Amino acid sequence: MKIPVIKKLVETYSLEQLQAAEEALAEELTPEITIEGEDEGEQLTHAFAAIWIKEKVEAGEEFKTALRAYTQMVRGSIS
Amino acid sequence: MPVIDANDGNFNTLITENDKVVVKYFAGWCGSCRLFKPKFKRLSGDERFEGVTFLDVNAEESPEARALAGVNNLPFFAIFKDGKLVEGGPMSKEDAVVELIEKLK
Repeated sequence: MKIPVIKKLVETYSLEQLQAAEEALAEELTPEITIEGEDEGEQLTHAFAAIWIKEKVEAGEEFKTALRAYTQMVRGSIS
Repeated sequence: MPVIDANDGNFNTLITENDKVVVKYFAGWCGSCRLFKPKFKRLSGDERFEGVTFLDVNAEESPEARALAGVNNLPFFAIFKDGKLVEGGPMSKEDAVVELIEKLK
């Protein structure tokens, strides 16, 4: 999981575009937008993250706050 | 055999009441975990692994089950024999998971 990739996705695409990309990747199809990642799994992880953060940002949270909450959630499930 | 959903409440019972167990630890944020779901289900029905119990554990919600295998990344697979951890590690390639499960034989 790469934070700069997630940040770029949040800044570049709409929630709808990200959700469509997530659906495509989950079905092992090629999404219409470019999502960087070493493999399909990492690309899907980036899509999940961007959607999660974008939803918080659209609800009024600062990007940094949403990103911190996201990374804490991830760390909390592997430590 | 279907994949059984496990959590902190039933994990110890499941790994002690079944001789050979393979566990997939996953989380909702993990794309590789999502993509591995149908593969794990398929492996659970593979006749090569008859007698092996397949468990799915949401790592976000089950810190005790997670700690028993030393989960440090996801997806993480671990094998237990007679209730004891044999081996585990983060992996997303099916071949690696098959190799791990074969160690239960």
